[in-house]
Amino acid sequence: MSKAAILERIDEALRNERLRRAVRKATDTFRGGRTRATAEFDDWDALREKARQVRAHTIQHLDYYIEQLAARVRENGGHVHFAEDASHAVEIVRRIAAYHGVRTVAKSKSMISEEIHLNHALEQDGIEVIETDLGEYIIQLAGETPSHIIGPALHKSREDIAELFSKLEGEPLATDTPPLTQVARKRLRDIFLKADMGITGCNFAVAETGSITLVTNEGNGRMVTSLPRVQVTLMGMERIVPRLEDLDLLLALLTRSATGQRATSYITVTPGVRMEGEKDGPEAFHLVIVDNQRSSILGGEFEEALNCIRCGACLNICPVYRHIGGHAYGWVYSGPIGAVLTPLYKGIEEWGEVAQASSLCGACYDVCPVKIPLHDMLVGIRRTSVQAGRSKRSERLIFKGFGFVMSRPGVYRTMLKAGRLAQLPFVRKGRFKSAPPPLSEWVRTRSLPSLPKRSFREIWDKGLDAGEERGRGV
Amino acid sequence: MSGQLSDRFDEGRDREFGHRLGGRSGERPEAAFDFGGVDERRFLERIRARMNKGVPKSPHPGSSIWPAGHEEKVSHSEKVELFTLALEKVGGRVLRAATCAEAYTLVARELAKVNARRALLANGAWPGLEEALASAGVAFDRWGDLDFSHGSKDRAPEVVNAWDAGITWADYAVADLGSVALLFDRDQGRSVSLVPPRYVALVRRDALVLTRRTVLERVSRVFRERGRVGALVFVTGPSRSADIEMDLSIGVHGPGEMWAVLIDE
Repeated sequence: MSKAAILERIDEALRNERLRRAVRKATDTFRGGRTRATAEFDDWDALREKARQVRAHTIQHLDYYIEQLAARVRENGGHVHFAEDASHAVEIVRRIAAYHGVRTVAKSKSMISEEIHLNHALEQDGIEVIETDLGEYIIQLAGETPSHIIGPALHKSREDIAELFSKLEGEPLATDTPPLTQVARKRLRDIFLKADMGITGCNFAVAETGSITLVTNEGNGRMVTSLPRVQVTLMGMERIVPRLEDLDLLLALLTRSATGQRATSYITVTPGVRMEGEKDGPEAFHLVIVDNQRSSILGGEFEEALNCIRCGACLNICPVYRHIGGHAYGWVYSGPIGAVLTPLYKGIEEWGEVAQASSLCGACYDVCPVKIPLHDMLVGIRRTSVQAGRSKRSERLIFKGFGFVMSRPGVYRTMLKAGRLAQLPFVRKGRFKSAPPPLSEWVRTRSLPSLPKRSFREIWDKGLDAGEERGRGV
Repeated sequence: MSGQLSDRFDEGRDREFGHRLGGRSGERPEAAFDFGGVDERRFLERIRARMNKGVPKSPHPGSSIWPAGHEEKVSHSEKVELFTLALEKVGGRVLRAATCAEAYTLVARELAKVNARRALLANGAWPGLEEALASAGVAFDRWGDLDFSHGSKDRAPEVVNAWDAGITWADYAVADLGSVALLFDRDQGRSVSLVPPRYVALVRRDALVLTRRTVLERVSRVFRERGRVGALVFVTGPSRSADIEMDLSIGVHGPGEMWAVLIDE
């Protein structure tokens, strides 16, 4: 993807005032909730550190825990499939659907299914695929993609939603929340009851017990793991906790960081397949463990990005995300974590520019519940991107020249004096009003002070009390 | 298209993969079916090749966020107070009863008050509840009597949508969070607490603990003893969504009301 495409999307987002208002409102609500919920703990930072250690330990032993998880799932009577990339994952799910003669799929939220474009592939096989998270349902009807990990439809207004639902119902609907919610409840209830297969994501898989943990508020996660006869769970291979009791810490951090809730309405920890004698729950369970570039991050500079528990706190705090919304990032993951993961998963060569969508203020690190150094990683990705030759030729020339001048004091002094003379035609009241290229673009949108009469070094040499000489511009 | 993936791998690996799929019981028909993807060993080898060998492996760092002995330091009445605060805060309703018999009458009376006509009961030895419901004019279905398989008549929308309440015992309750926890098995149906628009959980004294961690440790013990444990769910208040302009709406897919009856015995 080109830089122009990213800039175009950013411009588009900035022009859309309604979108910006919606994103601000949503992120403010999430942030407010998070701040209140974390204040309950005397030492929130100690919890973050503990969670970081648990995540780091898990990733260090990832092969061991994946092996343990797979063995346990099989002992529980489920099947385990391994997908190295998106095409494997899609093909596995298609074959599972074919094997079980599936006609209707009810889906609860899964970011990985967005990574691999699953719905489209299943629909091509003639299978009806319905998203059941209210936000996902809305954007599926609109033919769009999620714009936020926690609130996938937060960019849609109630008027947009009423219009979509009115079309569905064949009659005009009011824009109040309760009747709109009831339309979704009624329609999706029928889907839950008739669906042959449920597809879920996975917040955490427990290696010790072979269970899948789903964190939801609406109850659709419970529906798709209770009513259809087949359950398929897609998980990124890093989404593991070692033991059942480890969930307590990670859930405490996840729900508080995501929505400010001490606990979501439902937290399901399921081995998938039903126990002997159970009347509901899936008869068959398939766990699909997906790599899709994750292993290429292991053992390298950006390994800690795999510690992410997908809470969305870094999106809500990010000044850039708050202005441009999720779609401007161009892929499944947005905000600071998206600006890190997208280049890593999709290739720095092509997607490194996404890491520019950040002010490097470090707020993302401060709110991250597992202390991923996101701002350092963004710098790292920019550096790798530059090393990979993504910077413009002119930019490289300028920095080469900069390096030459800065390492030679005599040249630097001469250049400075020349600069004072050269700037005269462009400067008014101590600031550049215009400039020759390549500075012209820069000063068009930013305020740049002119070079002072005397440099700091010259003032320093004369003595700091050199009166009115100090610091005044031209 | 569907042949494409397996073409990439040699026959030997496909055979191995098919065999592996059989898992515990090799005679299952799935064993012969090729679901695609790669062999587990190959998948793990790719990971091992990337893992940083220079970094020493750390032992599990521990994950408790609670001081040692925290359960014992808090009395039952304090737990009741905490539970009530937490559940009411998220829109749940807390009822109190001294005995089970009192709880049955209370539930039947309260259901009649909200015009509940029909309840779905998880399996349990509670004839007292059935009598109380009958005399309050609330009809009921027993989970154990239903045929809930796909295409069965008990799964038809007219049956499912006729339930006004689902009633179960809580296997555990978490005072700190106002959650009840259910461990599903033949008696504790997954749908009972989920499908009807109102969920009533009966919580006995010894089911109420302080933290979620304690519940997880106990379930973990069950797993180690039996080698298997069913699905576990924590329910904290009614079903909710904020997906329409961050405007809270209740009862999206799960129950719009959640009652917990704390029983002193």
